[in-house]
Amino acid sequence: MWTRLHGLTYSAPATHDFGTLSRESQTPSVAYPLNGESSDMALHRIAKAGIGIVALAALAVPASAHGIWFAQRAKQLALIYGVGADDLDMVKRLPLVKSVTGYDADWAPVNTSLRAAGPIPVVDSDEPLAAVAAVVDYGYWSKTPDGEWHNKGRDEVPNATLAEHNFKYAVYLGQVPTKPVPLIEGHMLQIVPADLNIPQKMGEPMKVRVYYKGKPIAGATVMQDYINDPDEAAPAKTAADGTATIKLRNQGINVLMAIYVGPTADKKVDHEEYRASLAFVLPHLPE
Amino acid sequence: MKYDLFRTGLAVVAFAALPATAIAHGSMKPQHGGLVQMTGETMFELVTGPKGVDVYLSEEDEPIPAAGFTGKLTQTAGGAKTEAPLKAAGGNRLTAPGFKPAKGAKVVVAVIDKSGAKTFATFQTK
Repeated sequence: MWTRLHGLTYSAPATHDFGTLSRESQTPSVAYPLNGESSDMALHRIAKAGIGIVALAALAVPASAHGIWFAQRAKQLALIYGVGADDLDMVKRLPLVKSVTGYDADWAPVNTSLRAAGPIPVVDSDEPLAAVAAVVDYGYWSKTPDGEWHNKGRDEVPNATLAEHNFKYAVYLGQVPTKPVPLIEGHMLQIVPADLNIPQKMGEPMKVRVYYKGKPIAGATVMQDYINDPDEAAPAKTAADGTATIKLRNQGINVLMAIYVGPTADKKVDHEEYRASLAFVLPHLPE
Repeated sequence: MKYDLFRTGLAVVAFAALPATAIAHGSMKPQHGGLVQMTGETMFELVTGPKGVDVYLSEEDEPIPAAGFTGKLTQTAGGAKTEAPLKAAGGNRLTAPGFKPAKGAKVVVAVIDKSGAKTFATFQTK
């Protein structure tokens, strides 16, 4: 029943400056009102400081905690990198995108690509899409005893206390599937609706199944709301058949995230961590 | 109706153009006797005439200058696809001269604004 679809390779723009990726936190500096400052100015400074705190706090989350998903931005579908409300710079991470694939309602491939539109990458396609998917290889990350993360493997960071290879996947359903969501090539971890009928109302349960290397996997974590509850206290775990039941939290976009740490034969890391999102929208009432 | 589930998402991300009666961003009444579809907040009206096909764009009942767009028609009929460019023709009209939609065909209108953003609307001809 589950078929594997072939991916279309995305070629990242060669001219883009990839910049430096960071897994690290930074300590924000807070500006307080100064003597002689007007209350408006003081409020302004406080507001600015607050913004700074928010911006820097976004960097405090380990990169392994970040995922990718698709979401609407200014009428376009964008590929987002982040966690919770953090919508980080995905454009500079475009070179890490290994594939982006689009499908029609029959899961036939549609020529699809990502286009940097200012600070966000948006989905471009020749035809309307029913679903779109992406793969990001986030590379090696090693943590040293001082708590610093390095974008290198254990071979280059011999004193690392932890070394891992991060992979991130995203699938977006633009309409209710009329056929089961297939396993998509290159998605080592994938979360799919277990049933064709997806509940339409916030609060209803939804059964999902998580596949690892094409087979249902037990023990994978399933977060039910990666945007609005990124610190979910007790996320679901998949059973032996790979299924888990979550509660749909939003009458809007729902981003479910499956997480699994798998073994690897790669001597440069201790394990591989996979994060796979499944995003879709439940409609609001008519205006 | 299952169809409703993702309609909002579809409409606003330029995915499939599905009827979006649930979204009130202006009248859905045809202004030129054609077929209408709402994608996000953009209303497309597809008008077939003896000289070809015209597409009118509007948002919240206000016409959008067609000069800001390029576009394409893609028709799928009997398993075969045919395409025709859409060119601005004054006002909020884009036109594909000589294009004759087949009965029962799927016609996808794709318009691209100057920022490169693409929006689709899908019509089923009668």
